[in-house]
Amino acid sequence: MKLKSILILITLGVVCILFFQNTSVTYTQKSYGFDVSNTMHPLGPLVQGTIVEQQFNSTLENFNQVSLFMATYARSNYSNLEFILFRKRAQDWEEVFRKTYDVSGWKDNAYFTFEVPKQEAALGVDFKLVMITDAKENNAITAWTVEKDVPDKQVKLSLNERTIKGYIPFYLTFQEQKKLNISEVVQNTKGALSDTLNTIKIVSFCMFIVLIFVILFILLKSLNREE
Amino acid sequence: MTFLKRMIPVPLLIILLLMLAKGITWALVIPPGQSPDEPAHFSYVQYLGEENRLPVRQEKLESEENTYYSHELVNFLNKINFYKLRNTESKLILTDFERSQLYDSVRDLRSWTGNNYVTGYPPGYYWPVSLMYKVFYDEPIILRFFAARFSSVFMSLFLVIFSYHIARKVIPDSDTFPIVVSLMTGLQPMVSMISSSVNNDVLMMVFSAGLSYWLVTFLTDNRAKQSIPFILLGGVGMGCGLLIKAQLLYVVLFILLIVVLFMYIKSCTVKTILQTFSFLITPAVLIYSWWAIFSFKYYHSLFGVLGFNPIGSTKNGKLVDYLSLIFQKNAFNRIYIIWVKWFWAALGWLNISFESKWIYLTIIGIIFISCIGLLVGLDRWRRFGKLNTSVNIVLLTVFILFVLGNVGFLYVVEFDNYRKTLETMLQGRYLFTSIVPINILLLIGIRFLIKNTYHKHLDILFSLLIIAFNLASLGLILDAYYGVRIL
Repeated sequence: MKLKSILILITLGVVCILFFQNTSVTYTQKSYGFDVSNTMHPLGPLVQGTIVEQQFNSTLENFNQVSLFMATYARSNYSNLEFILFRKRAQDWEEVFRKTYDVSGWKDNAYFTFEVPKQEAALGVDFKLVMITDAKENNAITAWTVEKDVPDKQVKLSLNERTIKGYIPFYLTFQEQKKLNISEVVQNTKGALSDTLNTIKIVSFCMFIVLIFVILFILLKSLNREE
Repeated sequence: MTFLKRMIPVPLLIILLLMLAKGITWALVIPPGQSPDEPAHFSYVQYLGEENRLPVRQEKLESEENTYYSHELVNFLNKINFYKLRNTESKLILTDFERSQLYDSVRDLRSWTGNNYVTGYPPGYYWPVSLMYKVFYDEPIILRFFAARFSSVFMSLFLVIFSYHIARKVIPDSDTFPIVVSLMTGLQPMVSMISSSVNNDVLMMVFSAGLSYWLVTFLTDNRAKQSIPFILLGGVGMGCGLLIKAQLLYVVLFILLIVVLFMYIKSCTVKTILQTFSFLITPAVLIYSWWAIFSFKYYHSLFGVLGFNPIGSTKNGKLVDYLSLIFQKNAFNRIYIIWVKWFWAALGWLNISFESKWIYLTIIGIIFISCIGLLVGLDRWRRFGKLNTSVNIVLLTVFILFVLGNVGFLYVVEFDNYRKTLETMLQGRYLFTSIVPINILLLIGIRFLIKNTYHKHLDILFSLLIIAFNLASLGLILDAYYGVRIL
């Protein structure tokens, strides 16, 4: 019995070490404020020669994804879309990302996420995204537009260099993967809790885990008894 | 002391401590207001705590942001990004300044009309919670809110106590079966969410389990059947249960039916049956009647406000059109969403669920195997008069009828009142009135298919599964609301 208990403890120890060494945590931050709405309408087919531009002001300190609400007219469109992201430095626009996408597999009426290089110190900085396609009417996709008055400072949409009222629904995301660090997890899951409540949360979670082991121990012990 | 020891043996005590720790963790992890209808439930509590009288729902409801809640509650919801979290799935990230503002004492208007969409519920749950609200009356609203949540956590401990004792009656000679049944009940992800929230479903589950325990005792204990205080206690439980939520009506009617049927089968005299029935029904009616009168006065119904009136085609008759409506397309998908996804884990306003369908498919697999096991077991009992395990067959049969009847009852309620809002009003968690019988049937069904020697192994396996499921669900919430995904 003693040997069994020691073995169980060693196994638990090994499992814990492996867990802490190999577990990674993905942290996500997401901007909001320019979401889909009932008053949306499509921008029209994005055919060759059409240039869609949307300027926006970043509300995240860092971001590495831009998601736009697109539509495919409920079909597969065999065409390409070039996505370019500019960042404003002083008075100039600096190109930070450019990639061409095959849009045939895009989902209808859904956000498409463009993975871009990590933009650091982006809070309050102006960015501009540009979309150009090589499509014809019958294989073009489109973007939804929410027709709403918004300050140019926050977001400004233009089609072929002509400003349009509203915006294409979008959000920015910052996602990064790190090794498990308990204090970082605790800090990032604090939410609306005060320090005291946060401590209570952590203590009760630890108790929860300890008591799980206690109850499992009781169950395992009962294996030796006959029903 | 002996009674307490008998009611709370050591394993149950540990489970209760575990559930308390789990409940507090969940209550503090879920952002305020993000459980289903939580702001509306809390506003009911606040109204009782502030006005000391029942709110009355008006015919017309304004938009949620305007008049549903008190000024103080609306401000609080805005400060914690409630609407943004619910509508845009953004993350709950507050600066230290924003957080500290939540704990500052601010004099804000707490009184308002009390008119929102849960106002028509009976007050059975809200009264005790409003007492907790009053204890923290001078504290900022966030602390009153968490105090209300902790009341729910405390109430849910009784659900675990009842589930343990019901399981002990079903298989009296197993020491692991009550443990696994109470773990499966208390750690079920949706139960965990509801029991850590401000929501009257918590007490609904407690009273359903409590009344089920009463019925189980009545059916198995000869002394209890003849004890007038015990029967009166059942009646009081029924009356109080009806004061919590109208769904308890099914539990009450089922118990009355089974009691009468059981006594009839046991050849009791008509006089004894009538006497027992009247001892049950009298306290229930007396306790419930004042709410029935109140409800009838304001809502022209004995069971509170019915939120929606049925509409829908009646061209081919109400029933035919209703059946064609729910079965014509995506019939299996609807059953899957309601009774698997929404019942087990689709958490909060956002219906946060697991990306991998395998988790839900595993649940379906377990339900399927268990149903086959139950059929095999019942057939074995029919043919040989015994089972491969010491299950109380009467209780097993009663539980099967209880669960089937409960599903039927919910469909009837939907047909009668909520046809207009199909897909939204019949939610899986409404079946939580049967949560304990469902867990018992799931485990017994599989027990019937395997040898006695492995029954304890099965209990350990299910305990591990439900623990993993609970922790994974907590991880889902962290990911959805805080953007922290632990892989």
